[in-house]
Amino acid sequence: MAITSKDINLLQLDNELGSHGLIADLNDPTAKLIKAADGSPITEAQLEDAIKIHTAVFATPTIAEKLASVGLSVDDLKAALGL
Amino acid sequence: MAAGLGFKTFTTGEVLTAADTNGYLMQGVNVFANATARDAAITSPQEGQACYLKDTDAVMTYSGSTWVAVGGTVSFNTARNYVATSETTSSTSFTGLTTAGAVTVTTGTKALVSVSAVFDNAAGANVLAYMGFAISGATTVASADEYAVGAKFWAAPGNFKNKQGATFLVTGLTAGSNTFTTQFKKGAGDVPAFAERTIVVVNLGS
Repeated sequence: MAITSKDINLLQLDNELGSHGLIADLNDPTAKLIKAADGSPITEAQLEDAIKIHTAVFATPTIAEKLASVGLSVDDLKAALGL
Repeated sequence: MAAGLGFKTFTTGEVLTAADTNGYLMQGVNVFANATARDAAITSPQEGQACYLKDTDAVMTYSGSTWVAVGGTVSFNTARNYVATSETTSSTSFTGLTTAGAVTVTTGTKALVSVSAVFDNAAGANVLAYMGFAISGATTVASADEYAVGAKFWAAPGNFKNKQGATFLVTGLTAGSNTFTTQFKKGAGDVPAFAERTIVVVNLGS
């Protein structure tokens, strides 16, 4: 199990390791726990090395996603603006 | 006690013998205060013989070696495991999470398995997530979609959080000590998270 305080994009990190699957407890930002999933051939050393060079990239939500987060759609917004 | 002879229709004037009395007339349901009184009165029970015990209100029959309650003894061995913390996986095949959730139950060949968890998309916008269970011990069964609850949610990160659950009848178990372990996977999209994870197993016998 690897423990890190780095920003982790789990899906991105998994892709960087060949998409064998990772599991994680990310609740403590100062001690994120990351392990290879059951059946994964990734070793702890490989995981730790990957974390060292990992630079998490988080996609910026689209306008549609931002609207959806408050229960609205683009069409709702257009209708409200009379467009 | 004589063995039961079955059923006989007596004819007018027929002499009632001791064998008739013991073999036919005494073959009803004998009523006793308890098993101790029964065993004292019936020292040589015969297969198929019946009794009623007043202390437990049980009708029992003799199997040839022991007294057995009619209808059998229903035993619902049960177990529950709960993990509160939210954890995640990027695996597209079933895997345990950082904190394992498992129960071990002595089962017959059938069990009812219920799994539930709060699914959320805290780490990504679009998520397809599954929660199932694997069986190990006396029986080995891998997790499968057929025995999993799933959720698909397209929403901005952190805007979906819903308790999902399902109950499955599992048959074909090898009777004995079986361990049921929660497992999880993602489908298309970002990584899901699972919190308040519960597994309940009820043994249904054979």
